[in-house]
Amino acid sequence: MIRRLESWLFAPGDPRRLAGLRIGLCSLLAVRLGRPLYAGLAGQPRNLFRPISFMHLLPSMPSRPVAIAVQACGVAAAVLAAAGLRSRITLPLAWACGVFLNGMATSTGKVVHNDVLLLLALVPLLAAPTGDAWSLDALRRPPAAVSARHGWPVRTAMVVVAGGYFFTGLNKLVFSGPAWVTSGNLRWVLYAASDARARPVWAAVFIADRPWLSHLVAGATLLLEIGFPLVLLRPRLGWLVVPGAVALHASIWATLHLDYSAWAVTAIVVFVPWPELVDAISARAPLKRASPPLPSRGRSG
Amino acid sequence: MAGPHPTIDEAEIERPPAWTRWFVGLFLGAFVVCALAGIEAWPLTGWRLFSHLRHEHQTTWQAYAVDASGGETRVSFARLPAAYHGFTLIVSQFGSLPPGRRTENCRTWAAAVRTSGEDVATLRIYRLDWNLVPRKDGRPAIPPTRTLELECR
Repeated sequence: MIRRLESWLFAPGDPRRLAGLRIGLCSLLAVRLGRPLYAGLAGQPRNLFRPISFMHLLPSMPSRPVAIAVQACGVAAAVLAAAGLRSRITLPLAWACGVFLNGMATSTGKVVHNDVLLLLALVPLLAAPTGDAWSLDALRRPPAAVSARHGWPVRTAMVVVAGGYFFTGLNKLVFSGPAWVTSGNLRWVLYAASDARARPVWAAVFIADRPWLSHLVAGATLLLEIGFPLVLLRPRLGWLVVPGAVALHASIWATLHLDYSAWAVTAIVVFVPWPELVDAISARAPLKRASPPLPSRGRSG
Repeated sequence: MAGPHPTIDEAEIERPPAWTRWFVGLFLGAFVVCALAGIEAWPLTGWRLFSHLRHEHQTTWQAYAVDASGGETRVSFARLPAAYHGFTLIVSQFGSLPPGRRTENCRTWAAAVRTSGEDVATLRIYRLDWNLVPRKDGRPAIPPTRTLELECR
């Protein structure tokens, strides 16, 4: 079992697939780090600081100049890493800035998961040759071949994303059991979220007012989360599972007004076979150019 | 930028270096251990998102700014900087804080509301209890009961 897992994990991979992850995840990181959230957290009075993990090393929330400097550094490094300029340096730098800034966000009294899947999916790329294709650095080098060096980072990121969804679902079963689906749990979540707003949230109330629909949505959510790792065994299931995850996060936004867009984009970036997609598009493009113009179908009367 | 498409025949057949295996093994091992044991070694996490059952009965907290004439205005923490958005989370843990720390936190919020331009003679923190059902016009049919938890200047 371990040997089979190892041979799958460390099988050769296309450098362009790894480059697709670098471009997609670093672009997403740049966008996420560009939010005004971190400057708003900076300079928080010390008695409101609730650090977790490495944030215990700090006596209080970092000051505004520090937060803005880290933010500027993180965004610049993420953009350069996406472009593939010195990505061995810029990608880890962007990731470190992302961990620090999101460490601030998660030190306000509750563990914040909004960006955690992105940050964890980037971990395998920290030690990988992500700039061997589709990068500014690669322009000065001969094309890289398919290699074991390019396979494991992509597959490790796939395991992380699939695992993130799986463990989220598993914990629902561990702490709540089947009642997470069969009880009124989701109705109460939706009603409470709506009641916390100045005006009722239509989408939340629509689902919560219909118990059968609440059970259906809860069941589909749990099925999607628990079943997500199947995509590792049957890649074709990605066409079902990834759009399902996007739909899940869109519905969370519509009903609870919680922004898990970084999860949705991370799942897309990690599971879309970018080289095949690019090959398919570039194979079509010359055909389009070569094909003669269609005869006019105008009515001749 | 795509460059020529490499073929599988060009693949290196050697195993990845030992450090790569150690790196992947340690990372995935830590990922799974934190997930199963619920350890928050952030960014490694226990993945507890909406995992506990919610109930029909709800409790929350609200802060009201009281002006010099005694009028109350509900504080919207969403309008304050993100540093103050954790109000409900911190108040929900008041039970584990000594009274001095609670008052200190209350004064910090009062100062933040004053800085935003509101007239704040005192800040009152209320606990709200209500049942989510029955409903009327998208809201609970029976209004929440309000209990004063703390007041500070």
